[in-house]
Amino acid sequence: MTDQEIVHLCLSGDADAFEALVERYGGRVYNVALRITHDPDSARDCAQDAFIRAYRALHQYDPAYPFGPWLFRITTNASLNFLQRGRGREITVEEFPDAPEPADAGPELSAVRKEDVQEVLDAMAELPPAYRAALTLRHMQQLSYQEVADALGIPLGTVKTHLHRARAALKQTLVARRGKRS
Amino acid sequence: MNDLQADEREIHELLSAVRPAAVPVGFREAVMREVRNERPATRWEWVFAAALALPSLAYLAWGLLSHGAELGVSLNAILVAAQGLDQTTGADIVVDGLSIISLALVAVGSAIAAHAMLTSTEQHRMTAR
Repeated sequence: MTDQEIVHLCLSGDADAFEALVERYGGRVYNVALRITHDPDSARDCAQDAFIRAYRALHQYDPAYPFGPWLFRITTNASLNFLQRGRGREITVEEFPDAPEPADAGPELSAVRKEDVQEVLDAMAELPPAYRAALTLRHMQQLSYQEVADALGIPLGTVKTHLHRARAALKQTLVARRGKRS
Repeated sequence: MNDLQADEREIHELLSAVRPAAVPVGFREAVMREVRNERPATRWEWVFAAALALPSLAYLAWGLLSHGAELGVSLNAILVAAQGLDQTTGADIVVDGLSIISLALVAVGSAIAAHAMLTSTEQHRMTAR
């Protein structure tokens, strides 16, 4: 059964049909929230909140478009709003210094690849939430540039700039961490 | 991904290799518990609108039946005065407070019912696509 058919059932009054969407997208939604909030408890709350918001807004979903990016938009908003309301002060994109483009990051990054996953995730957590969201959607959830732009509600050009800066910053952070360790 | 560019390949390989975290135990059940507690908003709107409007409409109908003749005379006097046909008669209309409250409640109930109807129509339109 397609996502659109399930949405159709939900809108016809079959609330239980929504379970199939939770089953299908639960993992991805939770992981998007987890990479943005960098905290499992917050991610669970944000992911749950995202599904409830999506259910309430199902009548606004346009079945002509894929369901995933629409749901990720809700998830991203829920997670970024959570951080805005949130506990610790997060660095914003404007405050974040531009990382210089590494002249040849290839070998360094190859070495970083062997680092454990937690190192990469910790380095990501040092980036502004908007960069984390863009990196997560683009590289972990494999969305196209346009889908990332739709999910974040920002222009395509801004997404490309965000991603370019986020990648440079992530490379630099990983290389710096590696330098500190060795 | 079809639009992967050369300069993002390294980071893409790095991040796409991160294994997704497992969903917390009981996550789906927690979501569905909330979803099942959700009721279509329109159902409550219809109930609320009916609760506001029906007693008020009944009261207004009863008032019209019992004082309809007086109301007719008053309205006629107002029309005559408005047309300037008779400068001597006074044109006034007496409406009790309960009738005004009833009218207000009918108006509020109608607004809520209109919202419920618009929402239902929108949901039906989306379902029918």
